[in-house]
Amino acid sequence: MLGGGLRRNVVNALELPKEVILNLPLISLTGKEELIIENYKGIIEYGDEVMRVNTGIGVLRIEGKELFLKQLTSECIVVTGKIKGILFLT
Amino acid sequence: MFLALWYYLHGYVMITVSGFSVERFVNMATFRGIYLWNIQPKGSCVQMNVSTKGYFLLEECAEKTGCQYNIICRCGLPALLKKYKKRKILSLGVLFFVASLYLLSSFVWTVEVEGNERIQKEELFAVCEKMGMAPGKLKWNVNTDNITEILLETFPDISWVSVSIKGTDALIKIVETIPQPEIVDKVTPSDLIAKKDSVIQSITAEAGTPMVQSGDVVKKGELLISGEIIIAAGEEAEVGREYIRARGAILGKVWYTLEEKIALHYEEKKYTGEEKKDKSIQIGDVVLNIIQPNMGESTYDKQKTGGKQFAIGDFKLPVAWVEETYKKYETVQKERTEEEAKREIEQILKQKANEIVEGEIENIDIVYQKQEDSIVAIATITVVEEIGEEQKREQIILQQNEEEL
Repeated sequence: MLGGGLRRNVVNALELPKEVILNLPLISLTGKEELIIENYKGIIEYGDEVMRVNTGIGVLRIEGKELFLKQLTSECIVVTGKIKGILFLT
Repeated sequence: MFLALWYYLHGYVMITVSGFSVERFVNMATFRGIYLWNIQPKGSCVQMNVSTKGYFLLEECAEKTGCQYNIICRCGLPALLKKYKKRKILSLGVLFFVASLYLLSSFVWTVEVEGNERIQKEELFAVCEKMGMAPGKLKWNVNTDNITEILLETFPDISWVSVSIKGTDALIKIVETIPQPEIVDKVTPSDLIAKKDSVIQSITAEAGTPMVQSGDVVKKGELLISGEIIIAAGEEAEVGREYIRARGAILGKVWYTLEEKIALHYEEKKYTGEEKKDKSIQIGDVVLNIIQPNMGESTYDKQKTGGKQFAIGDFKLPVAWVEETYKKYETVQKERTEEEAKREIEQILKQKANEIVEGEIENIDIVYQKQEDSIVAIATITVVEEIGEEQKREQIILQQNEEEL
């Protein structure tokens, strides 16, 4: 397997989509109310106010109120509610 | 949005999951390709939706993660249909509704015409009805191509026509031809003769030889302007004769007499001001008048004061609401003097004269006579009007020929 550095250089040089080649999560946030995480690994903790999602680069912690998993497929998670913060725990 | 619709159509199950690690359960299910949505914590357990297909795969996940799950309800279209399967009358109603909708929409309900100016709507409708296109006829039986052809054949004034049926409305679009100019026949020789007995006031000949002068008394049928022209070379030497169409304006005085009678004692209605309203429903030609006002012995006039035609959109229903007012009156004996009667009679005569007479009224002479209880007036109206009438020359020649024979 090629080293991370070389791969990154190739992706940068060729302007390839990073989230696909480097296996990074793609997080899109709509205001405070909707968060879409693509390319995730799994849910670690699920609750009303705190949610933890495992991704390729570490655990993502989502804080907020009335959090609600609107959709859950093997590709993406859709979280709605009043989102206060997003934090990488590693 | 579309995914939600898809799962609604295929049916889904709402479940609650409880146990030590619901997260693991969810992860495992997602990993196996089971689609989960609307996941929300409900107290100690978590509620979520899962597709019916996915539901059967959940058992393994639950076993491995040590979670328990319970069905709250089966949702979506298949579950709904299952529920309504038992309700026969409802499904019958749905069927009836669809059937009646189809049935009612398979008739032509209105026929409209667009673009007609000279051709009457009614004539077009009559032809269309003959061809089977009229309100209340099945629209499947209407052959629009056929109607188009027939309309073009029947009305030579139509240059283009299109018949289309949209929903329950039939629309006839037509374009009329340019109106044919009135052909003035200048060739056929003719004369102008008198229409009525009169005294000639003025005569102007545009073409032809005038035969009378102003002040002459003419009888009906007398020759006024002749179409015969004598071509003369110099004085009195006749070279030949030419026959043309005589034209000109001849004004003549004509007298008309009118007679009018008016009584000196007469009856008049005097409204007492007492009114009563009558409301009724009219269905087709039948009038349903349930409560009629009681007018007793008194005399009254009926007058339509209101009403409403019920309609759905543009389609008029044969149901109408009629409102009538009954006005009470008393008969009063009245008398008028001779002077009043004369004045009134003059008014009536003048009005009548204007209605009858075509030309210009020059003078009205009224002679009054008293007869018992009434006044009789005889009016002589002097009118100046156009008295010329065209007569073909051939006819004259023919008549002469007959006389000779």
